[in-house]
Amino acid sequence: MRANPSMRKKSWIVPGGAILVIFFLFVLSLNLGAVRLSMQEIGQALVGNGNPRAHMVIYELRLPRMILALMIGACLSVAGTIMQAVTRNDIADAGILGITSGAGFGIVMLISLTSEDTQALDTIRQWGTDSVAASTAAAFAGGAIASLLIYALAWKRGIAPSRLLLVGVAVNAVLGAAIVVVQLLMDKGDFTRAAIWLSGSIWSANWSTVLTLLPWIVLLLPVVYFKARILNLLTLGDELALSAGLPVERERRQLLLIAAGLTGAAVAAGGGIAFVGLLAPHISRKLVGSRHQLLLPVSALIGALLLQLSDIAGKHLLAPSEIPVGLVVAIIGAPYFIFLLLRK
Amino acid sequence: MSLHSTLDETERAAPPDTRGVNRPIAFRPILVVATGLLVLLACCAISLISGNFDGGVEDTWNAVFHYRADDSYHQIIWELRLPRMLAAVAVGACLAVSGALMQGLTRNPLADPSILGVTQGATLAMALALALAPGLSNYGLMFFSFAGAGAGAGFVILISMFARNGMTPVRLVLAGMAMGTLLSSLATAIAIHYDVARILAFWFAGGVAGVSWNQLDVLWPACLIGVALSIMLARSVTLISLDESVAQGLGSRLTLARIGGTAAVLLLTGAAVSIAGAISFAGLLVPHACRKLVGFDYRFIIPCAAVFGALLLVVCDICTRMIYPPYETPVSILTSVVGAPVLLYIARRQRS
Amino acid sequence: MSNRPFIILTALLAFLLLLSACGEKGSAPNTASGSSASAEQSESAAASGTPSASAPTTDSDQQAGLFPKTVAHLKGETTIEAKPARIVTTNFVAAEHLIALGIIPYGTASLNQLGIFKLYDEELNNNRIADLGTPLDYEAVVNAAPDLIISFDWDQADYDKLSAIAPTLVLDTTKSTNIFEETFVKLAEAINEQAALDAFLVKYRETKEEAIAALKTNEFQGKTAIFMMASEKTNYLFTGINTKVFYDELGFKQIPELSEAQAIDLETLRKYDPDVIFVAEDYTNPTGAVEKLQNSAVWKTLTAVRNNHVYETDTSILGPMARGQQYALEFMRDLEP
Repeated sequence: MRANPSMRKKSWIVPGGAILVIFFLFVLSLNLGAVRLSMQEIGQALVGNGNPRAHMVIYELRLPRMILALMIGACLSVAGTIMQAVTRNDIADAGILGITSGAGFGIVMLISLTSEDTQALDTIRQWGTDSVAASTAAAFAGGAIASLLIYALAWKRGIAPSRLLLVGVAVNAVLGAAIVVVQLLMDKGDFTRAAIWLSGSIWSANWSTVLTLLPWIVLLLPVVYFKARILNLLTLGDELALSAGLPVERERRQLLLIAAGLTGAAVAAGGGIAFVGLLAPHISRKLVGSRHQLLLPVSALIGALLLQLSDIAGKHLLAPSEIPVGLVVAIIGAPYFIFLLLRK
Repeated sequence: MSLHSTLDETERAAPPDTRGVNRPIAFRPILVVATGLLVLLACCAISLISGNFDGGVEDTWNAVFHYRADDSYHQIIWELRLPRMLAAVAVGACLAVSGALMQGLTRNPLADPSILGVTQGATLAMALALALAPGLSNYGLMFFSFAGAGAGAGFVILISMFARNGMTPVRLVLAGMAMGTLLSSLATAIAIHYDVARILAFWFAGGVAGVSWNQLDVLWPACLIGVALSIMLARSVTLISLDESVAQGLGSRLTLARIGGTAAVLLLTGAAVSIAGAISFAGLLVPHACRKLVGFDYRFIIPCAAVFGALLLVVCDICTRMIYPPYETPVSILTSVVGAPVLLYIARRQRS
Repeated sequence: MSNRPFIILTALLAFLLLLSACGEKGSAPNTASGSSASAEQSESAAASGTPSASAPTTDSDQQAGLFPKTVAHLKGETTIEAKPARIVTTNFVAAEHLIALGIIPYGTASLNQLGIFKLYDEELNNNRIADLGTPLDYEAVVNAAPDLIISFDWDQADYDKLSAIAPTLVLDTTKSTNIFEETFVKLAEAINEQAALDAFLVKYRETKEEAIAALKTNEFQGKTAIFMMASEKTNYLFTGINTKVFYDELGFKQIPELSEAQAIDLETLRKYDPDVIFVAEDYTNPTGAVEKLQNSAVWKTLTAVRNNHVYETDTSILGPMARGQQYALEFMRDLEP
């Protein structure tokens, strides 16, 4: 693939620009919140010299949430990029394929299984991170099972990407119904917990959540990046990929599993947030083209930016009430998505 | 994308023979519908007999035909079980016919109110009603739900009609899901904020328990008008469902049918969802089964769907009372258990 | 290929950003006035030593000797240095416990939940309790600058964040065998409100004796009763710990087949036909469901209805609220046969 000099220069503009905007929003959201802090206080707190109040607000309350928003956005959009390559359909994402529902189902099952049995809850607490690790494990398990289910059901002498999509839609509907069923059998406290969680909210962000999500990002994102070439080949079509020597089915399986892992971790940390994995790769593709070597990092950045923006809007638009971030993304995402569908 | 090309080759029945009325194949749909009606009647009778308050067949017969106001069993039959059974029949018919229409109009075998964002629209309307107008009467709530369901259905169908280059089944489903996600996120956010989340969920678990005669006064006319309208449009719907180019060639005549069909879907789905909440998969399974039984002609599919839809819901309603007495299981659980495998099977058989 | 969709999206995002910045400024006066007004109020309160102080009957010298104290709770141990003057709670039940002890909390999460019940009208109207949001807004807690935060295990509040703001107690309700009393006592003892606690409990026990006597006289003892909440689509049965006091102590009899909290329909009700029915309207969503029930012919054939033993009440008697439980006993005592 030739890359002429002007393209090489261009290829820095978008990521650079995205990083700048993210930085700007970061600084802005450091400033927003019910507690009014002066810029000086914020600055001092950041370097560790601040008064206890400022330090507390910045380090315990604002910073973890802001970082988590960026991380979740990146995870979801990379997962979406993978899905779109694997299904050769640029309007697919983990949510539509039912993997988010799978993760949600895992967590809802966890809530319902650990509610009556306080002993189980204590054991989970002893894992040290206040059941965030348990939620992540449950979400990952649910997402992985969902993706394996989808894969198995879509298998019919191979996987036709469009069948994958349709099966994904069906599995999504089924798991969605299953979630409702489990919810109906819960008592009120658990029910509200599950409902708040499923609607996608980073309200309870803390450092342990950040630390739990971090290994997934640190491990999986580079792995995906290494597979950029494979993703490029997959989008060209099965025959071409096979003739280039690619073990197509095996790679598809692996990539789906990676996407499930990223989605599960993101969902455990931030609840069911839809559309990010759909919009971010789509927008990125318009900006920098389809080469995954560039598309993947830009997708991650745009996804992070999108979620960051939505979280800021959700937290402060209707203060003191908070709009769940999943809803803000849906409000932006759904109309845009439908608009995209119409234009095709 | 025509309906034919999205179904597996082996699923296609022989094309309907129009050469003469004495051909056996023309009798088949009538036989199917008639059998269905008989089974439906039997199940309705079973529905009247089932319940926590014990009573025999003879008592039930007397209750219906020789009503005595002072007998409490008779009262239970008339006030509780009879409206419930009638609601199940009507709601089942509404959902199935609406599903059949949706699948025909959008040429999409996966079309169903719960997948295309219709029930989410009704959920949102209900959430708004419960949160903002808590003192609203039964009729008011029904109206809200009706409006919401209708808006959801109409929106998705409009998209499919006016999309540039037509709308493939996949895209339509995706659009419906996008709308559905948005609407249900909104509904959930409102519900959590106003603390009506659990009430909303129970309302929406669906079911015909507790239906009153007042509600039937709205439901049955809507059902009858909707089904009648659908049958009138059946021939045009058949044409629309078969092939894009044929449909486009017939132009304006079919546009009228499309509008009429959309109106019918709005009416049927709105009425059903406002009375019985969201019953997943009901509008999906029955049309598929009917297509297998009576072929592709919507003049047969619609009555067949009405009868078998009613049957499905009556049977499920009976089961909700039998699984965990004396408590009721939400009917969505039952339809999901039956519907989910069928949905997966259908999706698996798709091409393109 | 036009860039239009991208431009539209960017414009939308920019607009959203602008809105949120304005939204923050627009609301900042509210939260600021909320916090600064209450800051002023608390300053003047501290100066005059009123509302957020403890119950009038407490002797401040006696109090001084009891602090500082270390309290063991669900998340460990917390030391309370001095008598708390500014208590903040993370759920409305904890807030109501404080109110029942004569203390007005400085602020609470989910304040609107308290307003649903008439039992707190007086306190809510005469005092300004800060609303800390639903769900809890930690920065609002920081603004409130409390000296004690009280949380329950079920309200999901982040202990690490809260304890960084102020000493925090997390009370464990999971092992309670009683709907409110154990938690209530734990709370009162933690903040050394022994006098107020004793006063409440004395009155509570007295009313309980009176209720038992009254129910006996009016021949309610041994009669089957159910507690249900009428709602739009169906009716919910209350059982378990919520109704334990009525069945185990006040003498009502429970119907064994209906011993799990579930949705219950009229037919089942008619089948088991309890002697007494207590029906509550859904407090979060009153839609006249009780009237709908009363118009039903089947309802009218119930024994309880025919004998006029249907009593309308509200769900405060079925919940973990101290005042609600006190009211429940008074309600039972004053039942007309």
